[in-house]
Amino acid sequence: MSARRTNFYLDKRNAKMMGVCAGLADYTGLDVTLVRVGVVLLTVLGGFPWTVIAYVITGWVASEKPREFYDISPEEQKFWQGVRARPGNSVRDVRASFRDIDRRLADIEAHVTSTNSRLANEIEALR
Amino acid sequence: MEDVFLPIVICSILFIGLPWVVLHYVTQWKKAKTLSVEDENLLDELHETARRLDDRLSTIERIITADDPNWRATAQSERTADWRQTN
Repeated sequence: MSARRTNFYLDKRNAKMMGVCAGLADYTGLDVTLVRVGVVLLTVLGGFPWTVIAYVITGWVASEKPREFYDISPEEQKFWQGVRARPGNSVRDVRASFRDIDRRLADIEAHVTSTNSRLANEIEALR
Repeated sequence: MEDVFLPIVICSILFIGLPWVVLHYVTQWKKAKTLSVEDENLLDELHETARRLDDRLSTIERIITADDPNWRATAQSERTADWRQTN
């Protein structure tokens, strides 16, 4: 089975410790620094043993991000972050882009056919 | 008689019925929420196709614009005229 894009992965390349925060940032699309500061603040403000335990367990259980997912374009990365958050919206976005393509193609078709008929008329007039 | 049956009924509701209902809705919710593997691959492919088609259309539109700068307006008016004729 190929690796799934909607899973949570540890981001080892951008990791400071185990890559949990970097993976979380990659998964949600939030800023890495923001996630790290948030986790540290949560730990300081009373979540002391639990956030550390959750961090270690996540870092131990979750699998590493597959190599082929590192070299995708930022646009694609953003698209998959949207899919993870709301799959329905992403499907609608893809449909909208196909409708847009259809409309533009219809314009091109109309243009090409009209120039063809104009050319035919001009040839007819020259006869 | 009732003294024997009532605790059994309550226990079975608490330890079998309740988790059953909860787990049933949890699985339902998960099924509705997440994409299956096939859906995910399909979405990936469609998104990629849309992107490539978009690129190609942009190239063609650029070529046509270089040829005839206000082709889009005439094409659109023609298309609406066609649409009026057919309807």
